[in-house]
Amino acid sequence: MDTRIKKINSPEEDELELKRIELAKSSELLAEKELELTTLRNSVLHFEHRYLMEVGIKYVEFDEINAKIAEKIARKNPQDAAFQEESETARETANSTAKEFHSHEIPKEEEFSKDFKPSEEIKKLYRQIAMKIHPDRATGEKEKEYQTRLMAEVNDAYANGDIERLRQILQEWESSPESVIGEGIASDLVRMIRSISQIKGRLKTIEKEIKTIKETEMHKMMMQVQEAEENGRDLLTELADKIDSDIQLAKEKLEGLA
Amino acid sequence: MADDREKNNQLVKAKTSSLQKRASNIVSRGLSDLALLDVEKAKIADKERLLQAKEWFNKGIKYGEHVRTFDKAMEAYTKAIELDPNFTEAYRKRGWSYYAIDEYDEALEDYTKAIALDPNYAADHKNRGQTYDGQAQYDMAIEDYTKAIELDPNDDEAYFWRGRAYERLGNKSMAISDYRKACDLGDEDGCENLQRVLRQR
Repeated sequence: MDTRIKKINSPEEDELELKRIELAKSSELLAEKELELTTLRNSVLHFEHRYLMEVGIKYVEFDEINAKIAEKIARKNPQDAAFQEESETARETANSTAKEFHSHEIPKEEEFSKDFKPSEEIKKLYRQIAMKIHPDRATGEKEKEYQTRLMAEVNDAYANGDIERLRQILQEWESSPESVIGEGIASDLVRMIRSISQIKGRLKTIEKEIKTIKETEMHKMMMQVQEAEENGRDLLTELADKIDSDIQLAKEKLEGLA
Repeated sequence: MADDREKNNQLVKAKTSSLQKRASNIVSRGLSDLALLDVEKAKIADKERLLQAKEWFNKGIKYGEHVRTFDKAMEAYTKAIELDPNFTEAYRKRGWSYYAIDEYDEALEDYTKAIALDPNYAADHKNRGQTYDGQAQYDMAIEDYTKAIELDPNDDEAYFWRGRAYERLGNKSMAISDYRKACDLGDEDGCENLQRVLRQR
């Protein structure tokens, strides 16, 4: 056999090569999209926290004082039905604002930085991992479960900016049996076709989730605040100052009623 | 392990739910308060801007008192106009300054703007008429003087200048009529010119 003659691939091998390229490309795209989604989600969560602590908490206080004012007026005018009703409404508003505020899981201040700003390094690492261990590339149910859990851990580490943990996960993965891919052309082809279609499905879900997040009021506000920041304005502080002055006025009113 | 997974799923769900569309009083309220904040800010910014325009205008007046700081006066008026594009008085003063240094095109532009903002101010028409005179556009000058007379029928100066523009156009009868009116109203130059034109006839 003349070794100079180029080896001619069988049709199966050609097909396999094409699928390999397609899979590589979609894996890359998926990793990018996963990164986009998790970054967006964390950005909004950080912003939400900041908003609640800088502004939301003040609405709770403001509504509470207003409820106290209305209650005091109602007590002074027991015969006046309108005042009684106003007092009930004000109390309900104050309670529901407080309830909404406390329904958010408020992390301890020191555990949360003001903004979510992942470094390029951690983003790169995330992409690497997402490409390799994504559950949509898993070969069986068991592997899929394992990889889902691992991805959740990856997302958590990313959210916490824990670059060491990410490195560790990647290392562990590379030495685990799950990272070894099955042998044989036929099984490879089937596996790859299935992976590609799973990835496509996941991409659609990601797009939907991104869209949903972008439609939230929280995201809308975040964009507004970020844009203002670029122009040197701190909208959240401005808003907090405004509510503070409203609170001050309300407090004076309440004291005047005593 | 199953517990861990369950916990993880719950965590992910909890995190997502706070991002999903749900009626949030605290957030929608913040959004509308932010909008109001901008309206108030804009109002304050507007006031501040007009105050600054006024300051520049006053600087312009001060600089305009001396010939050597004339260019500074023009710059100050220009700043005032930039800050308040409807600052009639600033156009007037700048127009007058341009006229004083013989830059008639610029003077005309400023007077025209001032007249557009305040059409019934006789002095602007007189000044623009003077500028047209400077460019030998006597027809245009006459129009402006006529408007000035309409606004202030006892302005001897306006009659005198209109008479002079008519004379320059060669319309002696109109010139005589205007000089006479100026003379009647007490303008000595008007009387002198009336005598001169009558003698030439």
